[in-house]
Amino acid sequence: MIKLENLSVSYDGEYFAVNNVNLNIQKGEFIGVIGSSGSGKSSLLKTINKLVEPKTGKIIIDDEDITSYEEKKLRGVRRKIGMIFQDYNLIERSTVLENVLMGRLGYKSKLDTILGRFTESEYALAEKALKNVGLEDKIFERADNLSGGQKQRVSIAKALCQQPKIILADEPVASLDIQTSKVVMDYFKMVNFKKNMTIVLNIHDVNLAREYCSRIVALHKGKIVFDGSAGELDDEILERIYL
Amino acid sequence: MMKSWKEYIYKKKVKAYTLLMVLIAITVFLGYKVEFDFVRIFTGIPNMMNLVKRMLTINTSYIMEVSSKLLETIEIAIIASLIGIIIAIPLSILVSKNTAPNKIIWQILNIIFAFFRTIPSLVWAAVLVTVFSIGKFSGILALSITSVLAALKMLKDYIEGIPNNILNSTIAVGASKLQVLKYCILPTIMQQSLAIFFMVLEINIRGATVLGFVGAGGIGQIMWRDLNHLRYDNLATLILILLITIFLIDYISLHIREKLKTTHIRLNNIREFKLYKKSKNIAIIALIGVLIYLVYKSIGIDKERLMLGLSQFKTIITRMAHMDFSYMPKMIKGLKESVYIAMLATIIGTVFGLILSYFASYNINSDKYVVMVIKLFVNLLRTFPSIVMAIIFFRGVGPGALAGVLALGVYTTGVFTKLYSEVIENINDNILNSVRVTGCENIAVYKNGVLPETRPNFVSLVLYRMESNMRTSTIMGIIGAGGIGASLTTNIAWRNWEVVGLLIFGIAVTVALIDVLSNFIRKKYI
Repeated sequence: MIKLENLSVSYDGEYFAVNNVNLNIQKGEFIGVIGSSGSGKSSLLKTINKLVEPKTGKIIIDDEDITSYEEKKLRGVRRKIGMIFQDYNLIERSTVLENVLMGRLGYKSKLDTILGRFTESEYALAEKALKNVGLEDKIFERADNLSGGQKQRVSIAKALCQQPKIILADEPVASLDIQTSKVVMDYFKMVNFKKNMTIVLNIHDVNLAREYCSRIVALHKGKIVFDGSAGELDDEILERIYL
Repeated sequence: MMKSWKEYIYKKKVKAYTLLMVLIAITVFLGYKVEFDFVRIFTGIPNMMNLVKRMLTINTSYIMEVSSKLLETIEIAIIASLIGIIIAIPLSILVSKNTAPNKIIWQILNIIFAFFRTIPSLVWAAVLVTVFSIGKFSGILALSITSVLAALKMLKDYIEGIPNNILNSTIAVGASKLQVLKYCILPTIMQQSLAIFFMVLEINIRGATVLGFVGAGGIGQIMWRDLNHLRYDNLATLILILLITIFLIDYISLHIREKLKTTHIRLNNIREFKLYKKSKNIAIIALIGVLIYLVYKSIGIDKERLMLGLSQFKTIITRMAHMDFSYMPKMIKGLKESVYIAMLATIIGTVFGLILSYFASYNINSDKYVVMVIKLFVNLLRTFPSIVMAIIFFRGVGPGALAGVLALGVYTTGVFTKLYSEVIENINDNILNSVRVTGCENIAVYKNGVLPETRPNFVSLVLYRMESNMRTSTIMGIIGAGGIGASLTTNIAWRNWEVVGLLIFGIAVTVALIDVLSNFIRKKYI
């Protein structure tokens, strides 16, 4: 599903935020990427859908090498990948429905965009996505009226509305309390289980990663230092990761 | 260990004292250059008080007489502000670094707009009055131009401040540039646009008074007539009317923004949602339609006059392009004086502003009544058009740069205090509390909590005032308060377009240099 070959990212040409990473992710896997701050988790995730340009290496999505893809072709690939951010990044002044519908933008023509047109089935899709995350009663609320946990569920609904094959989540629960974090993680688990969707998420809470993820990848100074099942992650390895 | 501490404190002290000495040296130098003289100010007080006293005898019967002109001013200001914001919104996308579709267009447009921004609205009005004759149309056009430029700058700063992740969250779904614009940037800047509209409106109401000087319509035209006839009672009435108008706009702006924040239209199903969207679009189109109609109605000149005006405009521009370089030495002298006025006024405004901000912030000063009184006082200072303030000081200290410095200094104190106290009021409570829990005095909270926390905003505000003062100081010359403005207005009056061209170019270069310098300082200290 996702294949990264010798991938490196550098912002200044000297320091490597991601350093020669090789990773092979199968369909339906639920992967947690752990590591201390500045270990390259966020850069790695953003490189998968090319929000960050890699310095060297290859990115292969669905057997398609997208490394050198330009804007137009990239849009087609991004459609297949839903992305969720730590700070939700909703358009605060727009309604919940409008935010969720934004997941369909990758499928819209220029004319539809100018006229702001969405089809009946897209509205139905948005409604269903909101129902999936238990927010159907908030559909016409403005995003800035929601709590942190609700906002994050709206971004999950937005990603679902996109009907993606993969979901990338960059620290999706870092701004939430432990109880709400669990609720949000439950939704990820449900989507992974019910739709057999591939999920890659960055997470700083090792316990949550152990509880929910089937596979854990650990980064240290941009390099993969651990790749295995949650059960294999013992204290000795953890010490090495967070050294 | 001890040695390094001592060294640290010593170095810190040396740095602080050096900075203080440099600032004092600059202030003394500037004071010398503008012939700052406490005795002159002191002996001028009776004269100024006399003028203020004459102003206090408000001629109430005059209010009805000028009401139609006041309405005209409001009309000019509202139309110009609407045009400004409507044109600025699409343009802002092209000039903001994170949204511009093309880097070359972005760079070219930014240079062009930066150049145009350096031209004071008075110059626009003077040229337009020459082209389209005296009246409302020239005023609307001149203010529209400056409104577009002002709104554009504010929107650009706001758009460039949108966090990258917000843009990324839209790009990540596979959205095109057009879609990022429509679904991400436009909704994000909408609320800000309303705030900017009211800010521009306020600037325009104040600006309309200055434009009257060259005959560009509105209340300003009568104001200058009264000034020339030494009718200070009438002048005071006009200023009072302006103050009330600006306060009302402030109030309405706050009220509408608050209302919009809390108002929520209840929708029950997708059909209602679609209907709501459709009616919103129709309302926007209707508003633009009404605006076009209003502009058309207020133009008040026929097609022939317009064509004639345009051909005259071409002649003026051609003559301006053939700059008269023999005027260079005089220009440099005037520009230098304008820079001195702007710098000294900024220093005065910053020093007094720092002191007043302490008393004007609700979260620092526990005496709510003092805060209210200071806020009212500060609003008075900044509402007085600096040109009127200059007239009062002119009366006390005579013609020259000093009157300009004092007028701009007072105005800067007002604006600086207002903006800085708002910055302070927005500080996170926890930061202040973390200092307060030590059991210290309020002044310590200010010095050790507020000042270090807001240093970037502080530096930014000082630089912003410096740039703005440089622009205003160029028009101080109209009433003889020093600087390049005197040459500018004389040459506009004499229709010496070749000299005017050189002067505009000179002002643009100077303002641009100050912008570059302040950008350098901003990058270094923020």
